[in-house]
Amino acid sequence: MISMREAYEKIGANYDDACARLMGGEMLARFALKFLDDESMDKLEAAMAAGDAEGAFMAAHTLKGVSQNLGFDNLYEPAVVVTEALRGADAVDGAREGMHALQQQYAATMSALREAAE
Amino acid sequence: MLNNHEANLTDEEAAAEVARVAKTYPVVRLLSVDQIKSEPNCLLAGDRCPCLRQSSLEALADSDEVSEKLLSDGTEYRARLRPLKVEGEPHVLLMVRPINEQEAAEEDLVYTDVLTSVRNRRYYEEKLRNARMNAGVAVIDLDDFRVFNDTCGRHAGDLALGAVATAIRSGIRSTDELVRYGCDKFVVVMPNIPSDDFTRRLHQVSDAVHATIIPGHEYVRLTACVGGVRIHGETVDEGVGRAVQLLSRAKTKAGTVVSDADSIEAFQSEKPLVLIIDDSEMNRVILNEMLKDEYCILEADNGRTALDMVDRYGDELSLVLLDIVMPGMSGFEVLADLSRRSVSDNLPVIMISSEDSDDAVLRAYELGASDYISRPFDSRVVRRRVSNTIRLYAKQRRLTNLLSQQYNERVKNSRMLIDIMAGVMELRNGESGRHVTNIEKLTELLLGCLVQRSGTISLDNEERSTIALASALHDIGKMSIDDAILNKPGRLTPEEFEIMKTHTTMGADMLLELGRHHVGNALMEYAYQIARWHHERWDGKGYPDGLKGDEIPIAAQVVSVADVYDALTSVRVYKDAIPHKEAIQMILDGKCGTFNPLLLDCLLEVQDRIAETLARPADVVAFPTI
Repeated sequence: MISMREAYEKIGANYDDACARLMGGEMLARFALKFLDDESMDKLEAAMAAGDAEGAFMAAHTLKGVSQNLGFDNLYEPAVVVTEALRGADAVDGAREGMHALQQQYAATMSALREAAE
Repeated sequence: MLNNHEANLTDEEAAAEVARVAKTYPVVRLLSVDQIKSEPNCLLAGDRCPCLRQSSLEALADSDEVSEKLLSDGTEYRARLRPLKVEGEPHVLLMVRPINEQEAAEEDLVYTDVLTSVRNRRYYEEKLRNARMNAGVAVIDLDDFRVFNDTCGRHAGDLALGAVATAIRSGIRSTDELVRYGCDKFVVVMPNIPSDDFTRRLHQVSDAVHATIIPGHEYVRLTACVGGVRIHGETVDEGVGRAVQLLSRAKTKAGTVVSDADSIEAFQSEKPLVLIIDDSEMNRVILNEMLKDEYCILEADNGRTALDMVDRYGDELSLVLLDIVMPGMSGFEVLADLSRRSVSDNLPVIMISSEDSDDAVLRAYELGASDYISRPFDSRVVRRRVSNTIRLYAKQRRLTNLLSQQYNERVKNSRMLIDIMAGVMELRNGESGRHVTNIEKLTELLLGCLVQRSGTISLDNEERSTIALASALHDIGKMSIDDAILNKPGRLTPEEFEIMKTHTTMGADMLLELGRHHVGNALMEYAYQIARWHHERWDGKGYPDGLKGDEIPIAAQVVSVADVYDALTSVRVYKDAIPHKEAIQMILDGKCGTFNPLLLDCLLEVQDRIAETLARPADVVAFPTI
């Protein structure tokens, strides 16, 4: 069990800024934990696998927005890379490279959040 | 007169002073500090007391005379509490006497607001502000009063305030205090009022204000927001402070009544409805949390559902928060759809997206978005933007309403006046029926057609209806033509005809003279042109000035055709009515003088509509003859 601040610091996310924006630590913790149920990464991976560029763009875009809102800077940055690689693209290939970094950060974020949830 | 602060009397002197003041005060007591502090009952009236103990102690503490007004058994008394020393010991000389009417009236005057005849701010500051009691305290704030004042004038504003004060009085108890607290703010203090009665009365006050009729502005409906709190031993001012806070929440919607006794749900039902459209549940949850305290939240996860909800909730919706990038219908498409339905004129849409490129922002604005919030969300910014936008739109709606009510009323009034004047003229001219109305309709028809056909004449809707309105005054000069000539059954002699012709110049002069305070007014300008030149002809053979072709202002040209047509098709003392078709043919053939060929084309084009639009002879109700 770690605190939400610790979880944020562990993954290199901006806790203080998110706290100020999202009505304090208690509310932020509620939102952040809700991210464990967020489906946009699953959707992104499924669309990438299916070669569905538009679907992948939508999912990446959502993931980008959510991580930005929650102050997950570590996740937001690779999400921007993937989103931009998919914007207006016909194929998903251009985003594969960025996906790698995104998946890494996603795994780190989820694991830190799970620790905080325990 | 004794100087209160310094007075130190002997027992005898004190007794003498008591006897002296007893001549003017029916009740006089000399009280020692011990008596004041220890006497179990009221110093004046035992247990029926409007207590003066506190005031007595105050007088002692401040070494200054305290004056109180008190009500006992329906009579008002003036109590004066003068601190003095008797044998070195502090005492209070208590003097009470009924207030005579004149004195009461004078005091009332000082504390009465001139406009509304309720208590004024001075009364509040001196008598109410620091009073501690158990009471309901309410602040009543008129909505958009400044707008009303600015548009209807100060005098109307003053009348409205008086009417509102009377309305508020009708909703509260006679013993409650009503103060004009600020320009458009009132404070009501209702001592010892049960909670449910307090809430009920606040609603009564709000209803009464809404039902208020302002003399001379019967079409205006005022509303007030009411914020009420109950105080238990706190000062009235503390109560007012809390009520103002409560009110600032209520102010999102005109006419809201909110009191701290309201259950949360009751207040929630007053909350503005906000629709959040975002495909990400996470983002909806965050926004919902930010806004749910102040608003009722609806959510939609795609554009289709959102549009259905907009249709279903219609005017109840106060604001839409709209994500740009969504699967299916994008936010831009939703926005475009809303604009097409012209919903977005009344329903503000705030776009939300991380697409903070200038293009996205500009496109959103072009499509009618009111504002734009970019990610990451900041609760402080989101809340403020949402509340500002809602207030702005609500205010704008009320304002538009007020202005259009007024505008319509004005138009109706000037219409009515012109109709009456035209009626009087017809009566005198012996023109049966609706000559003036017909000419107005004809003028409008011909003008509409003319603007379409001509490449050079441009008159917008408003100008056309102004000309049509001005046409009602075309024969105003006939007012100064002798009745014997005006209503002569037979043919006019050449001399009589010369006199008759002067109705054009007389009318024009009249308008010039009567309208000299309205120089530059479009209606006046047109009315002048029409009155003077509606008997001119295209070939220069008309009167009074023999103008030719386009020297004749277009307004006068059009009215001249309309006038001729209506004269032909109406009954006159000297002739029968000529049928529609025949009349048109006579005009085309130049039997009534030559007209602008373009106008004759127009006449041909609208001839069927003329027959439809104008009152047929059977419909005509003749004015009574004198």
